[in-house]
Amino acid sequence: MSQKLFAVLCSSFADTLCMVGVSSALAFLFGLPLGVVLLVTGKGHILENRAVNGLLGSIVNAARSTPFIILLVLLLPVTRMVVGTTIGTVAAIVPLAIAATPFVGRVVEGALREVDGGVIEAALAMGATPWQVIRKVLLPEALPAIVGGLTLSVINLIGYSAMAGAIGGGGLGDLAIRYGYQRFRLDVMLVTVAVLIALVHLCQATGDLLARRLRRDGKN
Amino acid sequence: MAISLRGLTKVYGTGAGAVKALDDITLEIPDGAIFGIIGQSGAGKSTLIRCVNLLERPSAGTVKVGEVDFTSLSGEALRQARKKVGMIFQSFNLLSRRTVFGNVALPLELAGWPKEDIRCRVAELLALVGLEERRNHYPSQLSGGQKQRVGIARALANNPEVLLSDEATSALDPGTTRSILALLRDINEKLGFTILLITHEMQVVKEICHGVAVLEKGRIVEQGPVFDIFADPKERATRDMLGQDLDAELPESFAGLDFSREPLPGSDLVLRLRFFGDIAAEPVMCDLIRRFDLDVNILTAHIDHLRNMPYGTLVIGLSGEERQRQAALKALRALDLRVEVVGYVAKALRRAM
Repeated sequence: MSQKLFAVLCSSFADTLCMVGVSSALAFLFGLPLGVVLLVTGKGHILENRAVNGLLGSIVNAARSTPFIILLVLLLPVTRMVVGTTIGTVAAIVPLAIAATPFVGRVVEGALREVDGGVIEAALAMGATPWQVIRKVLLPEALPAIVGGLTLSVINLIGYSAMAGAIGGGGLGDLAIRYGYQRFRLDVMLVTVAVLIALVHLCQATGDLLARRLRRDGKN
Repeated sequence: MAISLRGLTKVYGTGAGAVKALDDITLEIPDGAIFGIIGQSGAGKSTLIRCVNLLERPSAGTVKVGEVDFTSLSGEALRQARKKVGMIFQSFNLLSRRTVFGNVALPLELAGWPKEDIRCRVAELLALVGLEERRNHYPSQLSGGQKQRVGIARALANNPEVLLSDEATSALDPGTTRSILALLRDINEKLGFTILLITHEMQVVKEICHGVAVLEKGRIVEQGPVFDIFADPKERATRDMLGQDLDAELPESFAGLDFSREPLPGSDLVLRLRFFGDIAAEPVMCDLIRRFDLDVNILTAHIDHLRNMPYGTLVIGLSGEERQRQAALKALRALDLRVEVVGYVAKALRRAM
């Protein structure tokens, strides 16, 4: 592989990291509170509120049932409004973050739901406020599961980011399509895929390690 | 602090599908007492104890702890009031990602204590429950008994006036149960607060409770001092709960026999005597034989002790002249015993057994 190609590969890799990194951060930022609200406003929970829960639930479901490639196109006006352009790595971050937020929300909701109801009851019996229950009990107890869920979200975003490349987002996906597919460079295609596989593995391994460390079952 | 429940009722659901989990419960638990509520599963015990600190809001009735009417509180006032009511649970409900120290510190953090004060208070509490050595362990590294000790330390953190125990020993083996009960009794004596516990284990009530109420299908069917309930259970449900503890039944050889209300020729008069307290030390049987011209046959006997007070049941058969038997019956009734006439049974029939 020529030096030039290697340079392109490196810059595409950096683009992918940037897209996935920033959109993950944004998705966590919005998805975490979303997941908490989805849970605590649910039936029989500490801040039961059917209206809020129903509304958020339907928005999340709608967003999640729209295929990403279609969401990408639908969100073009939003992207233009936020970053001023619809082309490039920065522009790709907007639909990526928006698509991943409901996913993270559901993942966090699921992780929090696994917290034993007895522990919440114990905290309420101690006179905890709903906010204290969330901060001192729900989030810390669910943290290992949340980390596991976030790992899944990041890996999903790596996949989505390749799709964003298809509409001019840059990154490894873009590289694979342009060089590998359109210029018949099988070697570039294979290298790109290998890099993506390695990236996913690295994310998964890091996430698993972190979750295990956090689980604190006295066996490590 | 005394706990007073008045007309407590809890209904789940509405209309035709409504289920009455608690039905007009009225109970007075005196300050400093250890009071047990016993019942089979599904009797409503859990609902009852959850209604005391309003984890469940009663459908009707009032809950007063000391002078505070819990049922009139909500929001911040209720949260403040709950801090004075500690609670321990069957499944311990400890935070898995906090150490022993962190778990005991939780209620203090929630109450906004400064860090330094929390450290002192937690050390004090861990010493009280005998877990100083384990302060940096996680719950998964502890035995069931140790977990419950953490639960107790946590429940005591805010200096509560009342401790609620929701089947706290039901998940523990008998030896550990005894040590946890001893700890509860110790705390009750040392700190003098009221303990309300629910359980399905008669042993728990027998070991530490002063008073007991028997709950069946959401209603209190019997209540009183533990000794009275054990020695002289009046309700079917209570006797069922006591089970092996009080074998008041007739021997098997009597099963299926017809007892006659009227004296039959050549029959035994079968009596069931329940005795409790001092009378157990009296030579009642000896007297009976000496004073009347009767044969006294002991058919079954069961004696137990509750905090050094004997209680038990005796089933006897009297044979002899009817006039003598009636005189003996009268003499027995004059004593501090509960006498129940089971009936007359033909000797011939019994011998055939």
